[in-house]
Amino acid sequence: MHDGHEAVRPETPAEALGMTEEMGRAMARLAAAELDGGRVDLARDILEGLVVSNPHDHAAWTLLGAAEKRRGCALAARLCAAIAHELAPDDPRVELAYAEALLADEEERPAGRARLAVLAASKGPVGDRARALVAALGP
Amino acid sequence: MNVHGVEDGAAAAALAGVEQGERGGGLAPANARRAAARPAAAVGIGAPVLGAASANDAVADLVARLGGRAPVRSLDEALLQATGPARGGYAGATSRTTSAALTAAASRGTAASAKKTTSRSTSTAAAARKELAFLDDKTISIEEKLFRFLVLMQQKTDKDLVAAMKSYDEKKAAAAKSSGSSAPAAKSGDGGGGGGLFGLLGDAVGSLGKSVVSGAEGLAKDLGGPVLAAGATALGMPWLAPVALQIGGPLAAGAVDGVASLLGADAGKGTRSAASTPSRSTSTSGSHAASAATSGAGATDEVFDEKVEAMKLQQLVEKQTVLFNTVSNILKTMHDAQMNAIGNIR
Repeated sequence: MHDGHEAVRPETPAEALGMTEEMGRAMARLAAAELDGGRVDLARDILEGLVVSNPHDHAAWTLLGAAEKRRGCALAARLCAAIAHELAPDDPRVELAYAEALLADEEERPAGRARLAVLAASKGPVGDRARALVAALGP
Repeated sequence: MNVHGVEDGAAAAALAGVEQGERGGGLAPANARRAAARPAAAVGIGAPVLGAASANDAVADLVARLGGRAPVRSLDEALLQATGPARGGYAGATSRTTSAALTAAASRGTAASAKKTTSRSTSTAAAARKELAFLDDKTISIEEKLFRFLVLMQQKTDKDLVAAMKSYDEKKAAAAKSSGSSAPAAKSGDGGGGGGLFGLLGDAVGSLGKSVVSGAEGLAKDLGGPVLAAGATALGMPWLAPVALQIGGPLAAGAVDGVASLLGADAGKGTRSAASTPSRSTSTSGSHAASAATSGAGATDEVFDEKVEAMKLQQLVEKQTVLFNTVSNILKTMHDAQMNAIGNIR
């Protein structure tokens, strides 16, 4: 069992059902819209279904972390963000979510601030948000 | 503006044009499309877009022609656009390997193993047909067939259990010999969370071990079993998924205690009450693992092996129990039906 999974991972439910990445991203966008509209529970249900369908989609994990953060579940949010970070450590959006999740923990807050400081130098919505958070956190 | 990005006025004009054509004696379908296209062309939608496979294509083309990005309604949506493609897991993805570096090796190994798997599955199927030949015997009753099936499955499970116990012993001996050998999977995290499902998850993501173990119960309730199972799969530990499925959801509170003590997640508290879990039978191995977990980071890998092997044993025993219960229930139901029939006759 252990030898096999290192080379080829098991088929995900999404693959078994024929769910394409486009469909997955469409559902993620829907969940993001629901999250923005304040319907956190509905967004969470959609995102939970997404991560269960394809555990390797870092975007779904990132958004699920955001949903858990909105619900006030800091540890769950941090775990989701950490899983997304493990899947895609180079993705700026994932890095941003991870940094924000670290801020919720007093011990990890300095590490979160350091990551935000690095992201603040980038452009686009990720950089904008990072700069806003750095400014809000203060010196 | 409707879903196709065409202003309502333009759509109405298009419809009017088609209707006019119909009143004039009927336009051929192609002419009707061209008539509808005129107001659409005015806002920049070309003929190919009207034949677009989906509304999304039409919208995308309209946006491209207008020279702007798609309207973003939320910050999360904007940030989602900044996210890169998924690392596989969806249908149509090129590879299911965990990393690109393994792709070439996996393709070579997969071809060889595919041949082995094919021959193995063929021989396995032939052996299974031979073993189950009694099912085609018309001289024995259905109850007899069920009973023989139960016996056959029990024997197979017993063999698997004995093999798993031997494997447990061998791996434990191997881990004891090589002090630096790593666990089959799971990285040696710098969090040192102390083991258990949540410890393994926490260590796998790094620096989260203690928090995850201490907040395991809340985490199980917040995320639920399927999500925890997905997380274990995402982190390269799919064999933890069945355990995670048992832990999360409405059974979270009691099951977390039971399974955590089984897996040695909370070494400080020793044995806990695990009244409602089926893991009592392996609690001795769990406490043994718990005591091993206290000896520091060097023993983490050894504890990990014991836990994984203990889980395998537990799964085999549970599989045997489920099978036995199922078949015995079937036999009982059939017996009750026969007794009822006899009772009615009397």
